[in-house]
Amino acid sequence: MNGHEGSGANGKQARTLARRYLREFVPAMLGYVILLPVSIVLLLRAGLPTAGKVAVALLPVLPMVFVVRAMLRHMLRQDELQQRIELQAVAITCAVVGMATFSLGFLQNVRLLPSPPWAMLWVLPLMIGVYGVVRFLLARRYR
Amino acid sequence: MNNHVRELRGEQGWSQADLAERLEVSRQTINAIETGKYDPSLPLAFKIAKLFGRPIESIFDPGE
Repeated sequence: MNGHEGSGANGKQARTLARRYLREFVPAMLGYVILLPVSIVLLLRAGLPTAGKVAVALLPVLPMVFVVRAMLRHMLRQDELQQRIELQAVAITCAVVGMATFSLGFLQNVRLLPSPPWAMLWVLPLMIGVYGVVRFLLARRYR
Repeated sequence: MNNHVRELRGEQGWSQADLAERLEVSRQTINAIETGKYDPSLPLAFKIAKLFGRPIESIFDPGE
């Protein structure tokens, strides 16, 4: 007879889901890692017209679309408890990051904070980082 | 809500991972149900009842 078996969601199902997620996530992330420096080099060296600059600047976004797609498909494959945790994590992340960027926007508007042109690039990594921490803390409640 | 999932699982000699695989949920979900930290949805509760061959009311108790 087995009793309580400790924390974690290990098991055949979890490993299958993880393998599927990595099969979709890793190639997409590799695409981003490759296209980002390509985009930067082309923008710095090539004398591109405006339309070309827009296309090249947005190149890294293409693989990120597939990264986000992999994350969403992984979420939707989870069981009911995991999906509840995901929903709570995403809601809290949106609230935290939304309020933070909203507040920063006001401070930038009255020039109390600098407005570097690359600032918007950090919103998605911030969301992913906050989501990771929040999800970890929420999952602990069910152990 | 109280439940007797752990006892029923023990009677079958199944681990949490075994039960999770049979119900197509994660082991974390089974653990959360057994420790009372999560109440399963109605479809999952019926699936559990069907797996153990017991009426749903004999497994899940609304409690106080």
